[in-house]
Amino acid sequence: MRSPADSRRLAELGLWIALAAALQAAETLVATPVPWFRLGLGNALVLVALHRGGARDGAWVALGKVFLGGLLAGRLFGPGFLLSLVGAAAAVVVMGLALRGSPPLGFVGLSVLGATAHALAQVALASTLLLQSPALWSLAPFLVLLALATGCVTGLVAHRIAAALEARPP
Amino acid sequence: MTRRAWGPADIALVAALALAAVAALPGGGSPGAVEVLSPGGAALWPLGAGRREVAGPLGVTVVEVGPRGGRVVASPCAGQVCVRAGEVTRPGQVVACLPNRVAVRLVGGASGEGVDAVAR
Amino acid sequence: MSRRAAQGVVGLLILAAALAWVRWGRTPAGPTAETRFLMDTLVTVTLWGAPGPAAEGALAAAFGALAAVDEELARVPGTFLWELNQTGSGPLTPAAAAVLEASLGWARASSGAFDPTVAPLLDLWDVPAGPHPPPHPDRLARAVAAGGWHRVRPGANGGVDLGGAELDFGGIAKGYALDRAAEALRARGVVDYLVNAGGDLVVAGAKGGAPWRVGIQHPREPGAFLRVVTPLAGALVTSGDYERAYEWEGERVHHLLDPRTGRPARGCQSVTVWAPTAIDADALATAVFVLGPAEGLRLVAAEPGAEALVVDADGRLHETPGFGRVAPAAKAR
Repeated sequence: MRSPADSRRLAELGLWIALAAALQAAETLVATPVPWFRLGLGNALVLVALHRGGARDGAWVALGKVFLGGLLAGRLFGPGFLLSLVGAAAAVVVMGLALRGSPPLGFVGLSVLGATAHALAQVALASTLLLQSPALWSLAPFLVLLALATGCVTGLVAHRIAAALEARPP
Repeated sequence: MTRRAWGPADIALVAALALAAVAALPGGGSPGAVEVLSPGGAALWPLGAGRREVAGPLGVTVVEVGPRGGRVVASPCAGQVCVRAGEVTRPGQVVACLPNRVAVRLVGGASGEGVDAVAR
Repeated sequence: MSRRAAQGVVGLLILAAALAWVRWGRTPAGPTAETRFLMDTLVTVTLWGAPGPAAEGALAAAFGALAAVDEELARVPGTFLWELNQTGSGPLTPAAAAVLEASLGWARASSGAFDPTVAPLLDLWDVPAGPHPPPHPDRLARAVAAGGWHRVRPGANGGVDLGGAELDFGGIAKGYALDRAAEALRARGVVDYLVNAGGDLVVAGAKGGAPWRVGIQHPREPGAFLRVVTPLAGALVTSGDYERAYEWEGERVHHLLDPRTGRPARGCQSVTVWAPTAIDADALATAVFVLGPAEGLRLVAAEPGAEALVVDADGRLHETPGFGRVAPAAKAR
């Protein structure tokens, strides 16, 4: 028998996955300096899930956003899908580890780490699998700067959501 | 709430990453790339990628992707027009070894004088 | 859920919905382009409009049209033209008939400066083979005498009789092909396109709000443009002595031969012609290059709708009065 708290948690997870998937699908619209690279805006919701529910919740949201988002955008199993999968996996692992590490980072720091891991993982995959050359690494600094910007924004968003949720009565 | 939005550690992290990224920037400016077309398909190399070999029906054409553009260094064609043509430095310019079916051109990047085609 | 949290979630949902609408609700117009090796050069077809299968289909149709002309009228073993040159007479395909008729018309109008019977001369010079000694003057003279557009007559049972001459459509077939490609694009409803076949192009419409920008290659400075223009819908063809050229003992050898002397024409460094159709622009550019700036511009002036920009042998610019109207210089960005 599921407790009300569990049901609420499941509903929350579902909501984060849906939102993250929508963002994931929608950001295929946004142009980036190099084709197929994604901004990873959905990471805000991965971070919220990690913070509130722990590693497993975070992993669910990360996988959910990649698969559901890919399905929504009609781009399952193409190079863009592979890139977003690798990026999301790297982000959730790094953020999950940083959550338990020290010194304790705020939401912005966590999100920035996640976005950077997301970007670097994509460059690594692209330069080994897609283009078979180390030459793509020269784009890495630009992508990291981009990741810093999106990481700050998604960190603040994730903080607002998490703070608002914690303020509600239990 | 146990975790803040940001604190001194976050500022330090962002600053460190930003400095590292800026330091690693290749010569500044927006990234252009050199596209090399061949029977094997199209390959995109960022500026500064160095010497690349491309195979065509006659043999191997060597393309040098430098900091400002790309040029053909060696090619197995009779006329060697491609080698003498020099470097492509602006979007829209193309250098090609037609007998070996290899073409080199600049794509992307900012250029105030960008054209959509060159009449020649 | 608290009100603030609910507000935050609703806000994100609205954002997601808005992004989704932008992503699927309307397809933003943009460029669709493809480049292939065709007609012994690099051909790029660029369209502006909604990307997707329709645009891809239009590209394929354009390339198909170009390839069809190339497969018939290129002077390489196996094509219709090659066979016709071997047999010396016979029936004409519709494309060959159209191109031959236009060629003879331009030969007449240019008093032989444009001449489709230059095949033997081109073979003697063999510019694509790279630097080598020039052909002997006697052989050149014999080739000039054996050729001439006046030898080409209607054949006994329809078709054509070459009268001993051999045809090469290098100075006009690309233009014909470009017109067919533009036709194919228009038949599919494309109004904004730029087809660039190795520097000879047809253009129509614009790129979204901005006009197509074309740089005219400077004949002596590889990276530079003579001018950047925004041509009106039509064709812009350039003939220059700098492509496929080499120096031999101080003389520049290139593929734009003067059919009357058998030697590379020396009057111009480059000629750019604008005309409503590419077949005319192509033939005119070849003719004007051979005629030189004075006679060439007179020929252009006699053709309604054509304009030209010529760089003479000393590097000076000459242009017809209307060139700036059909190909205005682009505003600096």
